[in-house]
Amino acid sequence: MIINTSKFGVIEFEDDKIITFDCGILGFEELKRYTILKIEETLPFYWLQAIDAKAIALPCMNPYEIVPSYEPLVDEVVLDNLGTKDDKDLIIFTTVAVPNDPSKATTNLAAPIIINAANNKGVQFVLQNADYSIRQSVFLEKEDTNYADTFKEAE
Amino acid sequence: MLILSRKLNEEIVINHNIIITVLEIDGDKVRLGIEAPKENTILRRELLEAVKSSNKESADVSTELITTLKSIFKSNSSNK
Repeated sequence: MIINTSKFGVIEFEDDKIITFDCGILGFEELKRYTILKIEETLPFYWLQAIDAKAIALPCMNPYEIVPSYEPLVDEVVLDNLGTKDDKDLIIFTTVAVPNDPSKATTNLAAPIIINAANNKGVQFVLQNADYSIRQSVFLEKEDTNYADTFKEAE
Repeated sequence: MLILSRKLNEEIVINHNIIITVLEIDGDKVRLGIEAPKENTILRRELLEAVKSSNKESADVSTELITTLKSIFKSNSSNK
C-alpha cells in the first residue's frame, strides 16, 4: 500500500503492516486503520500513522525504555477482543505529546496502545487503576538534557 | 436526559444486567457501586476526556517540530 502522509511524504508498506483498531482510538474514533512508521531520524519515537487521514500521525514510543517496570493490567476482555489469550503476542506503545520545547515531551502511560502482532489488531486501553501518569516525562529532568543518554540510562 | 432521584442504598438497573447502587453520600460526594458484565467499559468521564485530549495533542505535532526533533536526536547521536 502507498499513502501520502502530511508529515513524512509518500510512504510505501506491505499490506500486512496495516493494524486495525476496531474501536479507533480516543478522539479519532472514526479512524480504524493505522500503521507504525519507523523513521530512523526520529527514533526512539515511532509514529502511529492513520491510513485514512494523511495528517494524523501520533508519535509513540516503547514505554519500557523509560519505565522498565511498566506493567499495565490488561483486561481479559481486551485480550479477547484482540484475539489472544497470551500477552507474549502483544506489542505495547505509549503515545507521546511533544510541546514546542521537546525536552518537555511526555508519554501517556495511562492509556497504552496494545497491538496483537499475530493478527494486527490494536486497541488503546485506558487503565482502570491510577498507577500510571497520563503525562510521564520522556526525558530525564536535568539541565542540558542529553536525549540519547536518557534512553541509554533507561536500558 | 432521564433524571432519577435515589436514596442511600437504592439502585438503578440498566438493560437488566447493569446495576448501579448508591453506597455512600457525603456532602457533594457520592460513592456508587456498579455491577456490570465485564465486557462493559466503565471509566470516570474526566479520565476519558483527558486521554482524548492527550491523543489530540500528540497528533498535533507540527512538521517544524519534527524537524527540531530530528536535529536534536541527530546531534545527540553524533556526539557519542
